[in-house]
Amino acid sequence: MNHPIVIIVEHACGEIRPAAYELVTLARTIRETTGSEIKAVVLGDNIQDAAERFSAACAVPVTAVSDIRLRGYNAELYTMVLKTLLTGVQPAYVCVSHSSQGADFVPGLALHLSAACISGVEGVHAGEEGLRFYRSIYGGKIRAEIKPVAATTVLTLQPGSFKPDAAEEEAEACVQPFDITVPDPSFGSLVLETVPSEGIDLSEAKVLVAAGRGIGEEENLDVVQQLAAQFPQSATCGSRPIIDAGWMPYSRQVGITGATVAPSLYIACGISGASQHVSGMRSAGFVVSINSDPGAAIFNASDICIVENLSVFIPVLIEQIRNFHG
Amino acid sequence: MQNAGMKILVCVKQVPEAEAQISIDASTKWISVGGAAEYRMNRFDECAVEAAVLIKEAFPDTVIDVITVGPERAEAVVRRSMGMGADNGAHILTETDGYVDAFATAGAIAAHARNKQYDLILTGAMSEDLMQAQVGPLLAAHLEVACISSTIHAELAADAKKIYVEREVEGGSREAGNINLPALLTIQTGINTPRYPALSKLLRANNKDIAVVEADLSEDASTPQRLVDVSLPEKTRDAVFLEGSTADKAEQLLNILKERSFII
Ligand SMILES: Cc1cc2nc3c(=O)[nH]c(=O)nc-3n(C[C@H](O)[C@H](O)[C@H](O)COP(=O)(O)OP(=O)(O)OC[C@H]3O[C@@H](n4cnc5c(N)ncnc54)[C@H](O)[C@@H]3O)c2cc1C
Ligand SMILES: Nc1ncnc2c1ncn2[C@@H]1O[C@H](COP(=O)(O)O)[C@@H](O)[C@H]1O
Repeated sequence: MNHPIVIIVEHACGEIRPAAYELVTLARTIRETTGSEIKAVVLGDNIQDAAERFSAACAVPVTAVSDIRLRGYNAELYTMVLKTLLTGVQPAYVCVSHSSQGADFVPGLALHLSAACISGVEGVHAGEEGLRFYRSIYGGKIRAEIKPVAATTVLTLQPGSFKPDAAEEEAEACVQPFDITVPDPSFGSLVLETVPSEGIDLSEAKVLVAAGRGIGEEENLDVVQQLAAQFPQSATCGSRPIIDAGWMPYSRQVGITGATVAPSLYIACGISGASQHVSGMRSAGFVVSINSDPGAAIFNASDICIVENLSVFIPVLIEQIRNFHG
Repeated sequence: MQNAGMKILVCVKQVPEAEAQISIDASTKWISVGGAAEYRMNRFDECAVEAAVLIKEAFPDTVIDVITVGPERAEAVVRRSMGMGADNGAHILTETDGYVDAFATAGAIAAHARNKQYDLILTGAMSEDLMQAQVGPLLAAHLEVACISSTIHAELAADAKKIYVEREVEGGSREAGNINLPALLTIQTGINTPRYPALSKLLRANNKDIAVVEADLSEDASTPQRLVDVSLPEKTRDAVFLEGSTADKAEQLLNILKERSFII
């Protein structure tokens, strides 16, 4: 019972990432089975305020590791500090966001802790044989159920899979420092370069027509644009391969490494429905998907599913809309 | 430019096409890839091979080894990499077509790579089938080298002792800086446009031996987690499939869009 559940709180210069609150929900779900205590850990420089805010908001005790060398994210230092700290804590579970940071340091940390490592967790199954964790495979077509068989399990949580949890009750902030000598990194270090956002703001569109790799050729963007033009306050956007190919600017990318959108209507054309894309559009009001593969994962996240070749179907649809408008 | 003599290892995986019919095989609690299944190289790994070949073009003394872990058919991605410009191939041949845990895969590659003094190891950011984003970081931890994940830009320093990298983080921002070699980079798509294999190189590759190591990774009992079951994901919306001819479906969709006042 004394093996706690530890949340690693991610923040940007002291601003706690919304995904950190989703970890609280995951931790509480695990606690229903294990009954263990929930704790949190924050790494950074001058991190006391953020630690207090998180502790008060979520009613969990927080251990804060403050060091100037932890001002920015550094995989080597994070791994070293967390390995030392967690070896002392002996947690049953460690919950981390499946973000660019979490996904980066967690597998190595798990290996150092001889822990199980389950990445991109989307759900928990509490059965007679203990806890198992769901994660997507095959582009989201299949769900795998993974059982940890180690004393410690490190989980990374797919953003958007759990609702962020607020405090169960009002709580006094409880923050403890953790003293550790943080060395200079030996591998080298990276510096965050924020890129000013430019281009279209997708959040203003009421209707988004999204193109995926299934459009095949750049020329087929035309028909996607024509479809968008049938709706007022509409815009086109794309999945990552469309932006990678240079067919649309980055500002039109939807997904975890692009924009998160919530239009009234989202029409996905030739998009398979990988969780990295779906995370960016799951709050849309109504979702229509056109895909030639009846097993495409995007259909699970759609209200209306159309199994068709998009380059045949969309022109027919446009024609009918035009006829209706007369 | 200095004679660098870099040694690069690229990890490549064979995956089914996104369109492949994936069904659940209740007897094995794993999946089967349906009918006329087409397999190809993981897209992230194509970018990793391309990144290695670009370095070799700038530093001609570079040697590129590629390695795959998989069943017999996986050899195709090793040959393809050689067609793109890799020099040597290795294949850790697994007995089954079934599930292999990321820890087993990374462990097998680490054992193979350990004493080969690679300056740079490249993997994809993620495999499109298992979607773990684990094998690269695990391999780096095994080999005790730096790990830069989601690399979107990489440029080797002239002395080939450091590499300037940019990695992608949320919101279109990047983390950038110089990393000491040896290092492992997991490659994100968009970093480059992978070339098609050259026929001449493919033919040459076909005459080259690929080092085959047999390994029974499906039975690996040392992994700290186990796959226990597979199922179909839950629907998060209604998922109503429209039926009929193309025109029928278009008409039904038009009516739905009208009912919901998206078209007025
Ligand atoms: C760290 C990380 C971050 C990522 N961030 C993002 C992100 O922000 N946004 C994002 O989108 N992805 C992101 N990805 C990539 C993601 O994992 C998928 O690879 C990507 O979303 C796939 O795009 P797609 O669906 O367009 O292409 P594919 O998966 O190749 O799917 C193409 C689809 O088109 C269908 N199709 C083919 N031909 C036709 C036709 N003629 N008519 C109709 N349908 C057709 C196919 O059946 C298939 O379902 C990220 C990946 C990683 C590792
Ligand atoms: N079976 C494999 N053989 C060779 N490389 C692999 C294999 N599995 C994963 N990798 C490498 O590790 C990366 C990440 O895979 P994963 O951890 O499965 O998401 C891939 O892009 C490959 O470069």
